[in-house]
Amino acid sequence: MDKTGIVGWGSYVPRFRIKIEEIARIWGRDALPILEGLGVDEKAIAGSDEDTITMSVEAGRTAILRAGINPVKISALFIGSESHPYAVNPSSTVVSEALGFSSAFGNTFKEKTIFMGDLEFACKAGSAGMQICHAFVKSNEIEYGMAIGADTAQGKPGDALEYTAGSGAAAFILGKDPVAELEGTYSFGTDTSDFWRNEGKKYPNHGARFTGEPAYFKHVTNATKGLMEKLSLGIDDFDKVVFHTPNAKFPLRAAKILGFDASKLKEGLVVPKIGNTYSGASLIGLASVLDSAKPGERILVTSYGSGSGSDSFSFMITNKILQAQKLGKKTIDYINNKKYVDYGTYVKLRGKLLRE
Amino acid sequence: MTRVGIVAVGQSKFGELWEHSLRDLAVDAGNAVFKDLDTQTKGNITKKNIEGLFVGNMGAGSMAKQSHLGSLVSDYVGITGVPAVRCEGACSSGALAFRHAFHTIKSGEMDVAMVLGIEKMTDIDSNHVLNALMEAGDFEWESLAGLTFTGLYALMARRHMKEFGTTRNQLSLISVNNHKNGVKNPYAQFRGEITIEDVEKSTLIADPLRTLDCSPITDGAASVIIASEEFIKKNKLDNVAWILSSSAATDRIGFFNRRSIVELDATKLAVKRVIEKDRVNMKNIGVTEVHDCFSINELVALEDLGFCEKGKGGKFIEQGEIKLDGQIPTNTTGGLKSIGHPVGATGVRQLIDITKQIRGDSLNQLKNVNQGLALNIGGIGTTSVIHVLGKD
Amino acid sequence: MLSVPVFWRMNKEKYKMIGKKCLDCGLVIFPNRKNCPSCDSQKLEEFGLSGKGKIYSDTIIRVAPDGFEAPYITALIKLEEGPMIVGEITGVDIEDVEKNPQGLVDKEVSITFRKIMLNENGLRVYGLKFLLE
Repeated sequence: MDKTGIVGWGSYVPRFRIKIEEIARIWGRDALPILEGLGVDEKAIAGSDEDTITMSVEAGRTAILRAGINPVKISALFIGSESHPYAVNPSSTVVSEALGFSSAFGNTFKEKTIFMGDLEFACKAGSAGMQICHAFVKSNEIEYGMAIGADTAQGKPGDALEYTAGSGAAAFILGKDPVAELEGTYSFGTDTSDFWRNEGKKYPNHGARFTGEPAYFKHVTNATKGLMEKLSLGIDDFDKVVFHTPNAKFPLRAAKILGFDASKLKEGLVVPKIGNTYSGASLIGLASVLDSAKPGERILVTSYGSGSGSDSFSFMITNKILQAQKLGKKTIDYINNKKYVDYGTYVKLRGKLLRE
Repeated sequence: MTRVGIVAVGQSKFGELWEHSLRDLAVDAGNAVFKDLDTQTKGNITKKNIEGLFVGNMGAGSMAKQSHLGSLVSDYVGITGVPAVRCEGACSSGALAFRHAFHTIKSGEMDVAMVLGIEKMTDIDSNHVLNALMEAGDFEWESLAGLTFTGLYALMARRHMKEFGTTRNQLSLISVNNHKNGVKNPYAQFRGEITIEDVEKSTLIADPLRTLDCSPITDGAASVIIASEEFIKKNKLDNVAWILSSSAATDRIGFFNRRSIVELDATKLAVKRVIEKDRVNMKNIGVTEVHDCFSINELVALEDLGFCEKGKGGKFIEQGEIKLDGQIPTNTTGGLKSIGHPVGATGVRQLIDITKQIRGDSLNQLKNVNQGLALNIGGIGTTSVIHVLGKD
Repeated sequence: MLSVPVFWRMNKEKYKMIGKKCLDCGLVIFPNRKNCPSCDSQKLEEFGLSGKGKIYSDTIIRVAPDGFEAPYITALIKLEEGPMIVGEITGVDIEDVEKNPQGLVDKEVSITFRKIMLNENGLRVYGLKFLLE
């Protein structure tokens, strides 16, 4: 049977940054313990003309470029986000139109199947989209499908989340003849409300330390173990590892619990420089790993979405990746292109000012 | 075909006229023009002689929620019953209304017609005024891209600076001259002199254009009454400004679709018709009113009209050639910058001020003026309308 | 207040720069027209533009119309296929641009996809903007 998996990938991180010290200064907090506790130096902020839709388009364009395919061949699009710009009115239709899935010239009226949906499962909605696209491809329902994880993450002003909630997106095209074969996926979920945002509310609430042991760690480790068991793989079979990054400390501790060497997390651990991009987080981590992965390397990705659940994936890098790596902007290019702003500019850019 | 002359002129005050409604402005201009008619004809001709009304207005629908100005104005100025129409060509609406009136008389259809240009701009928020004015541009590809009219002229200014070395100082001199000329004008919105420093310290609106490069948002109305040569002779009217040429041209609606953005083809085409069709000798023009909605536009207009070479407008202004004692006295009563720019009224107001120079009763009266030219521009050279008036 | 179809019918042009090419004289047309502005032909076919071009003139809009938030940079962009269009330049700092009296003239740009404006009834209008190369 043909190999299936990722055929193209792309990430996007907006250029504005705010330093953790700047946020701490506003709230009269000592920055050092926060920096040490989170392991995050600064976070990325979307510009006032950016949102989940525009960042998805940016990441999607790079993915198409790397896949080297006509976008008209893409017949599924699932966008996972906690910050779809509209409560009702999909992001996926706009993104599909902008990326040219309908026809080469975007003829809206030309009939063609496109399976679309906006997904929400806290920070793991993007990885859920990958599973859906993969299933469509494996069942030969479609030739290519795109999954995107994107967020302009919300954090209540002054809340602990504000120090990490960042903006970014990553897009993956699933199909045959991949650059990274998807060897298997495993999901684990339970009813564990550690983080939530009610309909109509601007900012989420969370269970503070409850988000750790019974939530993040339990689900990330169980999903990862489940995957390894399913595929008969052990920790030594993986060259690189990506875990969801609410901060830089949680994924490292999860790795320790499971027995992975911390060095395997290095390439995917972009959180210290861009913050927690929620649905984008584990996927931007994966994109960052793919930017420099070598053929024959095996990559483990485990996302985490509050509420709670984790999706775990194993990818085997193929020779095809070398060509794709030469195209498009890499995650590190976006991370390095930055402009620092103060807290006042940050609240203006993110629309946190009440003006009515 | 008959010749046509301007027999009476009148205008309202120009400014932010909070107590005046759209219709109040029409009445003020109407009363003023009828008063002048009475004076000029020694009571022999009255509003009863008027056979048609041509209203110049750009945006009463958007800015005053009132369309159908033909009826409204005829009703309120007291000439109900005459055929009346509103002419629209953005900021050149006034001159276009005048041109239609001129043609109607020339055709023999009427002997006496009234033209009234009007705009009420302060009844909506100023940011909505920007949207309304942008209706003169390309809605889909300029307005929806966030462009404003100041922005359009800024694009012109930046390019003119790049291509011809036009300077900030040269642009400033235009506003300084217009304010100086407007000091004595009782109708003007701004009657204070300004300095180059004032212009260059004023707030940036769209780089490189600053507040004092821009004409203001203004309420106002202006009116003239024109008549056929037969009527004028029969009634022995002698203080008449004759219409020697009426010319108009258009260009593509989008500024992005122009052959050039540093010269306006519509103006060049219109002036060519003035010279070739109506045989006007530009050397005889002793005074001009040009459309200084933004300083750069006055400079470009002087070049396009041929008063100076293309690209040399800045130098021409620097040499003082637009001053009252210069080669071509320009906007002798203050221009759009000082008098104000009630969009649909401006084209008519320009003709009033040229008429007064011809008649000899201008507040800044020049000596030996036989012919004067008015250039009224809609959009950004999207429509250019030129009229030449003369003593005989 | 503008309703949805105003924006919706331009999606193809404003999302992806799909223009036209005249089958008679070869002129690339963007924004779209039904007749060729050069030879008046009605035989036009869809043509995708690259979205690359060069800034011909630019300004910083500091007083914005309703629906937009100043300051922002708006430019005339000469596209590599020939047509000129108006577009906002995003991803640059006003502080850097305003220092230069020449603005961004002659700088190379390429298309990006951004939020253009917010309609009064909360509709988010998306479309093309440009980034410096």
